[in-house]
Amino acid sequence: MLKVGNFGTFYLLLFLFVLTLLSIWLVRSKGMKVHVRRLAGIDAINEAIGRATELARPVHFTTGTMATLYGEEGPQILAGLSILSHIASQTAKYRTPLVVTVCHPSTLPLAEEIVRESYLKEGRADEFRPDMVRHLSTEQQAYASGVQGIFLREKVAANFMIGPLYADTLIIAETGYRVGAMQVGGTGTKTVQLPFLVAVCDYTLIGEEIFAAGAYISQNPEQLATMFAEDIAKFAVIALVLIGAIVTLFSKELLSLLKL
Amino acid sequence: MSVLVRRSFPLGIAAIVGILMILELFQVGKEITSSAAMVRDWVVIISGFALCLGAVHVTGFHVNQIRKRTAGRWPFSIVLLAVMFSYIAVGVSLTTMSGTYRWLYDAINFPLAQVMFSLLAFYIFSAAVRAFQARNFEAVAFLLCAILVVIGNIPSMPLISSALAQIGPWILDVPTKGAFRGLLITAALGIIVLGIRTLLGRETAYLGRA
Amino acid sequence: MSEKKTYAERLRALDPRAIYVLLTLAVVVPILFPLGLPIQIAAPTRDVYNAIEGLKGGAVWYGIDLLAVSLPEMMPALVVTVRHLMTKPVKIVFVSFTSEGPMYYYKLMDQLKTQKKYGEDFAYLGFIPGEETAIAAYAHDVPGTAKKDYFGSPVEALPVMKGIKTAKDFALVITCISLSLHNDAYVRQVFTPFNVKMVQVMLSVNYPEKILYYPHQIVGALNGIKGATEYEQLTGYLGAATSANDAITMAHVLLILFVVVANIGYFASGRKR
Repeated sequence: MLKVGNFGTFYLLLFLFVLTLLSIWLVRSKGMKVHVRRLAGIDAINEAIGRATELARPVHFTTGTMATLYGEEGPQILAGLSILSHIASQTAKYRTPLVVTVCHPSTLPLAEEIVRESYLKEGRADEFRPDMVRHLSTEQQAYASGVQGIFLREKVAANFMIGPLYADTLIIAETGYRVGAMQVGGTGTKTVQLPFLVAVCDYTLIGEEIFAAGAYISQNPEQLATMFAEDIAKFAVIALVLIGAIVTLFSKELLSLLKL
Repeated sequence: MSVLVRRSFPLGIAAIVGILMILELFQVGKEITSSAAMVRDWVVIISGFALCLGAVHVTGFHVNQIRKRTAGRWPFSIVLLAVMFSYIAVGVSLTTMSGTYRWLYDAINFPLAQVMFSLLAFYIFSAAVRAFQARNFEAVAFLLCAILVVIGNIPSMPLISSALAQIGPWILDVPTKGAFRGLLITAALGIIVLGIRTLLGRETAYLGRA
Repeated sequence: MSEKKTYAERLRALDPRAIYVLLTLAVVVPILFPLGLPIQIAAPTRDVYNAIEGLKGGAVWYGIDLLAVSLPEMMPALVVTVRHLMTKPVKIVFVSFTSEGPMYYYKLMDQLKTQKKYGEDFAYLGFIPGEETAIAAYAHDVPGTAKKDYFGSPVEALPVMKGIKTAKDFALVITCISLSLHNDAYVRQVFTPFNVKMVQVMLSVNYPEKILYYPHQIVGALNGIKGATEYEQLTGYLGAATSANDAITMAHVLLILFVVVANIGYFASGRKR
């Protein structure tokens, strides 16, 4: 049955599962309204696309390199793709050229489908072209140089990099700066890339803001409910950290007794 | 295609496989463990096909560029396809352990990858000079922390001024570590809740319908 | 009509080309004409040295988990740590969980020119695909996961593999890692279940994040080329890293200078943006 070492994981999953169900129930049955604070990076998407439309230059989107959809960072790729859906809808609406580049081919069919669906929803199915979504290379640096080439040749006006970003982030972002693109960057767990994003991009989505973006854009009540569940969990984490800090401060022996 | 096929089946498969992998984590039984191992094998097989898909896509895209004689691009598409198929031909016929394949890797891959990676150093400099300007309070804090961390990173600095050399590592060890841990915890919570949404069928981004 | 830039504005918005030329000089000149600047050994580096120096026998799991891009930064650390290991009475089992690992193995052997015997003193089990799943599988069942070595010999036939079944049978686990995912994977799949002594050689860009694991999950860490420089000083095997030390110092000093100059220009130009 359950291994002793996994009890902590089990309780965490159970806690979050119950919290999520409870939040969805509160929204559905009790009409609870969940408000998400303003995410400047998401609000800037429309501004960036508008600017690209005026300049008649393309919009670029990437979920980064190295990570695969079925790997540990798959959820971050999915979070990025949920933002791609919104971007593609906007570019379809305003007839702005869109270039989506993917590094790992497992993301390719999904990205293509998302862009196609978005164009279909906006009634611009005939304007969708498969070469809007391009797989450049699975090799990180080859991908970065391919994106650089696209930026310099096609003079991209808006660049969105949202997902698990690796070392190529700065290469792409700096090239985007050189061509005068407005840039929005965001990453979940790749915290070492955040300083580069903050330094070079106009707007940055930090940590779990990329997971909130999908709910923020769609304003779907049930998705917002899960944000509420996350926030409750965060308060629980804060409480645990404070308790742990106080206990550590006052008694090392007590801490070893509490060790799970 | 009906809603059942386009929506319900994929959601159902995602939920069943997700629950299976969670149960495997808790080692509830041998059947669950072996089923999960089988699913992982399927993932490896599918990822192999995904790589093939990538190669096909790249070939199709660049053949199109050559066919259309896209200005400024089509000669490079020829080069790309020639190199790609040379690698495939050598790798398949002589294996990746052969001297020829190793030579191709050493002569082309390694130097090109390193050149691109080394661009980071130049770009860091130009980005830093632009970003580290004392425009407002946050920018001043950013600037000071960056300078102190760079000073702390200089290999010889501890022998010049041990006090100055300790501030940068302290910034990395204390506030940065704390901030990173906080970010990682919240990102992990976000990932778990995304997973729960997927299991509940509330997350449809992977259906192409975000 | 374009405004002529004042000197202050030029300082504030330095031409990137000038920055790149000066950076190139700052890096190339010290490599060609070494300054011999002293370095201080960091505690995590010293702990790596102590971990290897303290080996009295047994086997070592050495993971060559590198990508092509990391060659200049990680190759010196790889060479110096393996060189140090080969002076100890230990068996070394090399393995890779990145597809470019085998290329590094060949380069390593070319540089080491060791007298040790393949198969008896060390072996290379090649690239095992599967990322974290592969690391977990290997840690739980070494001969079951890597049935043959990189050159096709059955693992049971290699004397160096005798008695090695799981990660627990290794006295030390050393990994050279390019992909930050693998830092976490090793901690999760090797340290957590088996509590094996582990040291990691990390890229400098990943160091601030992954040093979180020191000193509990990993007993030592090398910080990319800087760590390799320190390690070369400790072992006395001076190589590529030591010659890069001066270049690293000059590059850091140049960065500070540029930032100071840009800020002088910013304030002198009297602009708020």
